[in-house]
Amino acid sequence: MRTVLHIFRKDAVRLWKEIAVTWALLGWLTQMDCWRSGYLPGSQEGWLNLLLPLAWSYLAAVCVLQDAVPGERQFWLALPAGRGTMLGAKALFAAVFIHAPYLISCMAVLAARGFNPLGHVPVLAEKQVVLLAVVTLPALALASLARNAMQFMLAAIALAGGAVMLNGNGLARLPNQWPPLNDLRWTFSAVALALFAAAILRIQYRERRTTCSRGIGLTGIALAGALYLWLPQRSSASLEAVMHPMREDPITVRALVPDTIAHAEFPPRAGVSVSIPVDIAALAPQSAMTYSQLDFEIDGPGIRLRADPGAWVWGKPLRCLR
Amino acid sequence: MIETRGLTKRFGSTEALVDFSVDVPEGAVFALLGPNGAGKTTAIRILLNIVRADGGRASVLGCDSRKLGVPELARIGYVSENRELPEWMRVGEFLKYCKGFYPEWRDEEAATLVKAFGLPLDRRLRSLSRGMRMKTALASVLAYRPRLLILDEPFSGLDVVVREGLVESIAERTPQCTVLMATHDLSDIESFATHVGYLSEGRLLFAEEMDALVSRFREVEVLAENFPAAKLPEHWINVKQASGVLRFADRQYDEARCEREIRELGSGVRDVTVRRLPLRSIFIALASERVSGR
Repeated sequence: MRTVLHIFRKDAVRLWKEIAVTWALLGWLTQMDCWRSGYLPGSQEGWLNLLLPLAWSYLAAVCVLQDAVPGERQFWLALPAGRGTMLGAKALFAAVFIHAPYLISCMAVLAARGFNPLGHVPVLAEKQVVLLAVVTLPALALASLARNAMQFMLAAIALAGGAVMLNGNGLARLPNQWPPLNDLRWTFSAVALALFAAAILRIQYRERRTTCSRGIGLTGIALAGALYLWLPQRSSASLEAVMHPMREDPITVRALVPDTIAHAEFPPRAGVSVSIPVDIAALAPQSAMTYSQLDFEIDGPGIRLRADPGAWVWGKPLRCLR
Repeated sequence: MIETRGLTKRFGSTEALVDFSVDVPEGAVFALLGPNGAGKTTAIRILLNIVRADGGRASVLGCDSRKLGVPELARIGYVSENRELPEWMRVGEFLKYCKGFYPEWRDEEAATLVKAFGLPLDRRLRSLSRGMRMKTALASVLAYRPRLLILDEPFSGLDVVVREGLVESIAERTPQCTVLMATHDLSDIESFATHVGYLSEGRLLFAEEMDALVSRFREVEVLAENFPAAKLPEHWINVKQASGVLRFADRQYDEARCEREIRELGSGVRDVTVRRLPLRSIFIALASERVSGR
């Protein structure tokens, strides 16, 4: 552990500027998230949400590249520090400078919005797992295959471009957008990526077989893409149903809708988005509500809309009853 | 201290090391000589478990080189012109960083080395000259008095004064240490090597004690009326013949045998001169033999 801390300290001293940048971005985003009044983030916050994972990926990568794995000339290779120790130092760096600040940020947002962070440990843990699977592990693994920052950047840009194209292609293949199923596809892809990333890190830091690891990485990327594109909808729907079974004792809540509601139209094919402020009763104080399966009806002057019983709230168009 | 048997390494179609077997006894200063690209660096990297051999085995400090762990590496000092130092560090930071890995590190020894080498503690490694960087690297390994010192072309490109200073420092500070030094420059090792091996195109041509090598090589010059086109002995290398003079290096010199072999050349031998060969000439003869394909 002493050696892990020794290497960690060296990396922290070397990368303090990069660390400061990610902390500044995170602080800015946290502040915006704490004080935002609406549900949807603004454009500035949206950009920050995109920029921050990139900054974290870069930070994790340059940390690994301080003691690059491929090659035979690196100073650390003949140091009396086990390769597991080196990986431990890099993992500690990611934990301290990426995961811990993100955890603090999430807790700050919860607290600012009136929730006790300690009462939402599972949600906080889930966010950490997502960050680990989608950002930290892939970035560490990719960096362990690169000789320098330029190689990492080129590979990362290629992967990001591929992901964007895949996403566009994937959405085109799923005409009835069904967010929970798409989420499930993303989850499968992310899990595949994370598992392959973990395997690459293990091989690289145990045996330094870069060619073999690069092959594994390409296989992982291909598998993740295939899962997202070609997983049959029936399979993902079945899994989703297993993961979120219908409650046997559904809660009935009453929502009061004010006389005037705001609405906005988003051309060309998103239809009409209607923001309905609701006042929900019959829920115990401090309880959290999710809307994975919701049966509801909108009854107003001249129109009556009803969701199919048991339908996903975003999954199918509302049925007009009159 | 170091023992290899049949080490083999290929990079694509290139044979970097072929059946490399060598013993470096404890306390020896073993010079591994050879031209650039001969396979010296590959051999050292295999010994340090930086590169994996395709075949054969090696043991370092009694441990299989593929399983070199922290305890073994803590007793090995490695300085190489091919080793990338963390150039963003200042000299003082670098020495402090190295100290964290070696339990045997001696601060007073490090301070002495800093003073002896005139190292500027507050300057970054990237701003140092090549000689200074090499001195810094040497200081970082000599400060913990390693049991095994592995040097890979440590002095190439350095001027004579700096080189001599470094050689003296190594010799002074490592009296109990075993040294393996790879170099293509004879002047690096002439003054202090006890053993020498010659590597060419991945093959170890010989490895033996320096004294034995020097004593078995002789330059022989024969003056004669004429020389018949007889087949010359295999151990005569670098043979040159011109206007009644035959000159060669005998790599297995034995006085009686040499006289007999010269007599067998035919009558008309007028004079024979035998001279000891300096190390440099021995290697030039060996290299020439290699090039001529004998």
